[in-house]
Amino acid sequence: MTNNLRDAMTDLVTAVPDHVVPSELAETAFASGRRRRIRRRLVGVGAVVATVAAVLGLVVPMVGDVQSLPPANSDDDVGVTSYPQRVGHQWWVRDIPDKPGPIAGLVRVDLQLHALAPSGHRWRVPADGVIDEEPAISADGRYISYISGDEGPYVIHDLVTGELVEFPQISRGLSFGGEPLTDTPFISYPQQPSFWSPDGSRVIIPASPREQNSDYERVVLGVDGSFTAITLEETRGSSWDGRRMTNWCSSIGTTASRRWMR
Amino acid sequence: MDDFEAFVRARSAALARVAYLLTGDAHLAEDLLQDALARVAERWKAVCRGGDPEPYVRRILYTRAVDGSRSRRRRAEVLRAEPELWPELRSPGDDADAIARRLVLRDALAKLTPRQRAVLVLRYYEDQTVAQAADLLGCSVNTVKSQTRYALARLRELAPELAETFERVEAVDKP
Repeated sequence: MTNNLRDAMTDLVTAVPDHVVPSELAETAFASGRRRRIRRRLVGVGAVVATVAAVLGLVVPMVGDVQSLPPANSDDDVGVTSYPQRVGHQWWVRDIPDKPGPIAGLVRVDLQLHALAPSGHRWRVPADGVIDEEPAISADGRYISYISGDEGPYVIHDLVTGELVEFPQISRGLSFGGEPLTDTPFISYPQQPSFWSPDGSRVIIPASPREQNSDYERVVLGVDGSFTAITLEETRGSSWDGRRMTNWCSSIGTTASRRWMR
Repeated sequence: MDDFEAFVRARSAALARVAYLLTGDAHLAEDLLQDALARVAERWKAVCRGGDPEPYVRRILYTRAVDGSRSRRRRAEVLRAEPELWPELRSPGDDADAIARRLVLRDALAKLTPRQRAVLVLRYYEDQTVAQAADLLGCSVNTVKSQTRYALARLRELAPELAETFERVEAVDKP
């Protein structure tokens, strides 16, 4: 397609190279290309470093928070000494064994209560036939206590030795056709929470006496099998640790009790 | 580095002519050439692995001519402090008419948009087909055709004394 415009353009640029191409063109262009390459790599490395720093900045504080939580009773050889960072998926959940060791806590998964090992492993709890909705664990994770069935008894389970301490004085107080299923002297309800003393030696539970004109409102159960019924008046002003017990005893109902648990 | 030097030595004159046509100014052409070659040098090994580096270099030259024209123009305005004597338009043995003719064409080309200039250079200086030009500029065939048409019409307005040149082009351009 030779034509006049082409000729005119060719004529226009005949003398151009001498004025446009500097003598060091290759060297300067190559050096400039090397600078561009280095800059591009530095930007890439910088982006990776920034990403890693951002991830670490997010993760490290979380890890630090979890690790800074002091395990309950950690100076005791028997108590729980660590807590899991997360509760993960578990394909198969078994019933809690007799001696799983101290547990880190209780979690509710799909309406089923699970005990949580310090490693994060879960067991179904309470075991078969146990219907207490509010089991209580001691602060060191060694004991779990619950009412073990419609007809009782109330049980303190030592998770380290596997020993069960039963309190046949307490049942759920259900009746069938107007006739009570049991004649235990105290009735406790599975919805009512029970609370452990900080030293893990006793648990206090709300329990109404079957006798109509009795003043007892609570029972205190010891891990050694001791059973003490007390009146509301007696609990008022007393305390496991001088503070929390007062709050619990001067209030009625689960909401207040949960606050006390914390 | 050695291949790059050899390549630049062999091809710099041809590339410089294209760069001049694309920019219409010796300083701008030098800048454009430096810029394009630096970008090629940045990935020289990869470019050579793909075979002949020339097509890649030319693609960079044309796309930088269109995309980078604004920043280069600003810089050129700073550089152009003295009146231009256009030494690049003078060859030994030229008469005044020849220089005047080049000047008219240069000024007319300079008033086109960078993309219009690129299309004209590709189609008439480098004898590329419409499809090749579209591929190199990364636009559609229709864009190349319409830009060519606009560019020629504009040149005819800007440089009526070169009318004969453009008339011939249009005659050739018709299917």
